[in-house]
Amino acid sequence: MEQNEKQFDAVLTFVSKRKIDMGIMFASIIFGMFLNWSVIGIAIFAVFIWSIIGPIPSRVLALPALFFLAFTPILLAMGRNAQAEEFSIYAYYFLVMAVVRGVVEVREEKTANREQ
Amino acid sequence: MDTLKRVLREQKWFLLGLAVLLWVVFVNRFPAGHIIVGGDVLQPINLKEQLASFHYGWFSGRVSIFYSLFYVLDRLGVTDTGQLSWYLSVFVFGAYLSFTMFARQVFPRTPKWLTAVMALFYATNVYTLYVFTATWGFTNYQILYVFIPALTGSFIQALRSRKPGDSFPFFLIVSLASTSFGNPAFAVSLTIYFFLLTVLLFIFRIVTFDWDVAKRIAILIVGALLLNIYWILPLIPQARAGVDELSNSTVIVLSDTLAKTSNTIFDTMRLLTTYEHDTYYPYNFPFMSVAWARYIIEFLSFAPFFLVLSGLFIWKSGERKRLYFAFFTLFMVFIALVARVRFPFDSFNVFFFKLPGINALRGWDKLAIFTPFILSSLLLGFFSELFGKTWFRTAFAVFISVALLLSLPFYTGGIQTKMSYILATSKGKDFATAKYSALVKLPEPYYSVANILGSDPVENKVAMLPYSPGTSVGRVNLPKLQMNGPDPANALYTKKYVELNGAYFGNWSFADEFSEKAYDPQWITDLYGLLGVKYVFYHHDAKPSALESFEPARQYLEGKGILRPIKENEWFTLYDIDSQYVFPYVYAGPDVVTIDQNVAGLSTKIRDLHTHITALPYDRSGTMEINVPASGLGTDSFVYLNEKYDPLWHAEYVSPDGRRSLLERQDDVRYANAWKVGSVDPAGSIDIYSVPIRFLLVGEWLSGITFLGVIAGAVWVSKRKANG
Repeated sequence: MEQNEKQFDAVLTFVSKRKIDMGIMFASIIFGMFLNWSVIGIAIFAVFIWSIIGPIPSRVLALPALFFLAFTPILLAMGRNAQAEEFSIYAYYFLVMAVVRGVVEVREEKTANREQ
Repeated sequence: MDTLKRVLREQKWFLLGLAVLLWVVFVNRFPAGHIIVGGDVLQPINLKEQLASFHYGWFSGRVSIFYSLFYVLDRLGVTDTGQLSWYLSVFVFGAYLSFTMFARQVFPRTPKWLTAVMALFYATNVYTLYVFTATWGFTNYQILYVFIPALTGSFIQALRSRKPGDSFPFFLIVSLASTSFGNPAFAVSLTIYFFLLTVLLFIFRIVTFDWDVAKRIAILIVGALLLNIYWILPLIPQARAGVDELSNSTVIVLSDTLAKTSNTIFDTMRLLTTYEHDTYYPYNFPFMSVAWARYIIEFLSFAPFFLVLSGLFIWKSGERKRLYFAFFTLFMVFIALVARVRFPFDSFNVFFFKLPGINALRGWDKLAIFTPFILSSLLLGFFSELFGKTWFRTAFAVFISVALLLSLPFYTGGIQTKMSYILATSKGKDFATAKYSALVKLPEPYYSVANILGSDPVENKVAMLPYSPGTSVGRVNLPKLQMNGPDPANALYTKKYVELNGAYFGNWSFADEFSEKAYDPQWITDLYGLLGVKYVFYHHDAKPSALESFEPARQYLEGKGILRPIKENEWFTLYDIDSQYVFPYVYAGPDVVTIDQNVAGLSTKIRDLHTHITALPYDRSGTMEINVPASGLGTDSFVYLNEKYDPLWHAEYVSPDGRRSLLERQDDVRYANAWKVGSVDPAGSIDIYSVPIRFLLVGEWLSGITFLGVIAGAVWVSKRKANG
């Protein structure tokens, strides 16, 4: 019980510290709903926004891409081409996120090198 | 001797790669006596006679550099079949050398054996298999593929270096690569590629943007434009005509084509085409005894991209990481472009691919041609970073095995004899027994009649009968030759060929009506005569139904003496049309006569026109320029040129004192080109010329001078380097 309360407090602290970020996340979800996107679409968009403001390292973003892409050949072998295409699209979304984060990482790295 | 030994020792991996490619060329020898005819492709043959028409005709100078080699081979007596191996050699050796250049410039610390393996992958992969199991490989069409790595490497080098002399390698490669734009759509796609690459080089700070770099980019663009101006200039009037046509009539076709050639994300990742998926390896699988292996290879075709993807986890920092991310981003963008109007890229791409100029990128390969290079670069970056680490050996062993399986037909042989796209639905996978083959053996009589046609000095044309169309425009179906493609008469003879299955007279596919029984068959020879056709190949090797349907008409025309047999054999009868029906190359008439694109009343109108015209003498002052003395022209008469209707043929009156005035074109005449002459001095003359060719000559001077400047600059720089 005490453990749960501690965890809940941690979440609250996190949320209260990053009010603006939480607002942006909430807005991104509303934005997706406004454009009538699917739940998965909204979720991926929210991850994308979080990958920038979070931030999430590019290599972490590449993991779901690898996961989705790993299923693509299996689905193709099973003759489920439409589903394979859907999975490859999700993989692509995560790859784009990884690339966007990669740009930020590379530029931060170069700036840090210059300052040193 | 010591130097030779040292070079052999230092370059052993590079030379080993060359030896592997030599095996590829050797094991893929083509059966003697055969040429490539299939789809839209007829292997350029008889180049010792055809190079000029290639240069000045259809391609307006764009492919002359490429075909100069084959011209020399033809002159040296290398057979048409032998030349097929040269097409393969130029492509695979060129791609190998080009990628090696790139690797040494951009990834200089990579072990040489690794560079050789990756260059081999670039030269022999599923995309290059597509090129050579289709018929494109046996033309200039895909030759840009060879130049992409060298252009990229020298471009990056030119931007990174602060020395102006480092731009010369880029210019030299651009000069050679200019022959890649036989289809100018590739120039558009290359521009997109370089634009994206440049932006990414700045974004990932591989090159730092400053005014010096901006100036260097400007110099590279101007230099590249000048070296290419020889084909760009003649294209301007042609493109204007093309854009007009596009906006008027083919928008719906463009949308259809974009939808048809769209590619799934996963197929782009493994370098395959979604459209015609089953036509090419590994889906078109030649190893029948192990047919089950096809599924494994399909599965494994994802492996190179998985390796690239796992590369995202290994980088820590540094220049190579930035390069890797730049190329990875480029690949992501190209996946989106190659996908065209497929979800989730459809809303942007529908707009993008309809922009003027971009709408030329209709085929899948226009953008997909860059993906093997980007993938190979990423693999090179991945392995050079992984080199020496724990997983290197395992990953590399996996890659080598998969790369070999994915290009296996190159190493086992039979890219056209067993693997051709045309054999995709053939159970036996054997070109010799298949119903149709892209390897066609033309019987000897086809070659021997060249003398008969060549000995006729009059400018007239060749056509064919009966109506035996192939599967698309410009193709004919000759089952006895196993052929479905362009008529070889296009290339075998110096006389111009009137397409059976194409639009020569406006948009009228008149040959569709050749078998129509409601009219006197003489309309066919009247029409051919109007178009300047003197010789007709009557193909006994055509479809049996076509022969049967046309037989009564043939007997009738032969019986009346209109079609007169000159040469007869089991493959064809060569007829000539009675001269009284054939219109001259240049003629004058008192009036401008329009002829409806309709069989009814056609013969009467043509014969009426024929009684009122006068043949005009002329001198040829250039390949596509003639001079007609005005003495044969009456006041207010009309002059006709018996070439396919093209508004880019212009005519000028040249007065005796040398003044020139443009004559008014009569665009209602669609069976030829006609101009109103007005009142002229009999001592003057009429100059008739093709506008693009005049532009070509100016462009050739400009590009030639620039090229000499580049050579002089390169020599000067290398001398300065030698002198320290």
